[in-house]
Amino acid sequence: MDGHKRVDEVSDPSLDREIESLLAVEPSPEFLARVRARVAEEPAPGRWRTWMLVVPGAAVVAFALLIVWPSREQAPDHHAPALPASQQAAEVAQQASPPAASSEASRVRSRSTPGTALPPAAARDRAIDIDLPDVVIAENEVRTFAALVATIRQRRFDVAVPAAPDLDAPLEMKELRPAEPIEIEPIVKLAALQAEGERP
Amino acid sequence: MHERADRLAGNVVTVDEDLAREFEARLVESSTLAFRVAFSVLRQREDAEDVAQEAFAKAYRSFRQLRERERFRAWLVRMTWRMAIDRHRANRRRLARDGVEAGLQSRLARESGDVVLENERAEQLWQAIDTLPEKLRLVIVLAGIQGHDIREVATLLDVPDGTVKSRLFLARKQLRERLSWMATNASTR
Repeated sequence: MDGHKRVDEVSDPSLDREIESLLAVEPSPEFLARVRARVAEEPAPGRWRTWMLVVPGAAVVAFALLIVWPSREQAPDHHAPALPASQQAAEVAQQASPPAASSEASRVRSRSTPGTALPPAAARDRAIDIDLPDVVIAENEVRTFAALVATIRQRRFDVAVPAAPDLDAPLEMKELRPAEPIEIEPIVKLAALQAEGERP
Repeated sequence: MHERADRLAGNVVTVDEDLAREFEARLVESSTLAFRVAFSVLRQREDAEDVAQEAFAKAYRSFRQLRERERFRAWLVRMTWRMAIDRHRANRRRLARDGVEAGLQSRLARESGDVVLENERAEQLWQAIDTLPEKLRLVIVLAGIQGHDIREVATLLDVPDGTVKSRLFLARKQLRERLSWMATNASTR
């Protein structure tokens, strides 16, 4: 009952005063100094955020460069025009053949591009100018062919082509062995049925 | 070229120095406010000081981005309030995890601390304030700090004066009801 009386007496101003007295707490004397010290640990205002953006951004760019740059160097130049097959073969043959054969290969190349001896880049430009359809040959096939050419030049195996067959010559007929006759035995059940006069 | 760079660097330093000076002024004028806002939630001096300190550090980090510097106090109050609520929840979770014994120790430590709840009435009032919805609670606390009037509270909360008035009215009403209920319970015990 006592409590009721007390609560009824609580007016807005007295309630406000009570709350004010509850909140009238002062921070410790060293509070301000501690806050200053804490703030001093922080980087300059506004730069912190900038660095937070710049540092990861730079890391991402560096990572991308590390990934992209070597792969670009390794990737074949798709934009370069394909060399004519003969020129490719000659070039590869020169690479594949030993020094002794390289002079021969260079002769082949000079024959394939008569006139002046062009540097590779100029030769490539010239290849673009030729208006003839070019055959694109797979690199491994070119390499194999060049190796074959180099081997032939070194005379490491005989490349004599076997003689072509004479089409006018009469055909030789071999005697065939006569076939033995085959004996087929009658089906017993069917013969029996036929004997009884029934239809199968 | 070097002279120009030096001049530019000098300008940057000047801008930073100006900012630092301005922040120092804000810190001096708002430190008690931030502390009391945190204290109203946490009811412990050390925790309140920690939270206020962190709020100032956070404010400093973003001080350059604050376009309307005159609204620093409002910004700080909201930030401190939110951080204090977070800390309070974390404390409660920790107490629940550590068990009742730790809770008792914490209570004893609190009671033996600098801030002593003077009497049962004060404790009741705090409990009643704690039960208020957050919006009403913040209004009644801000109105109770440093005798802020309705306009000042409205500025701090960035709401119209009428909203503050109605919230204050509701908060006082609920507080009276809550205190009445507590007093009734205490008398019947």
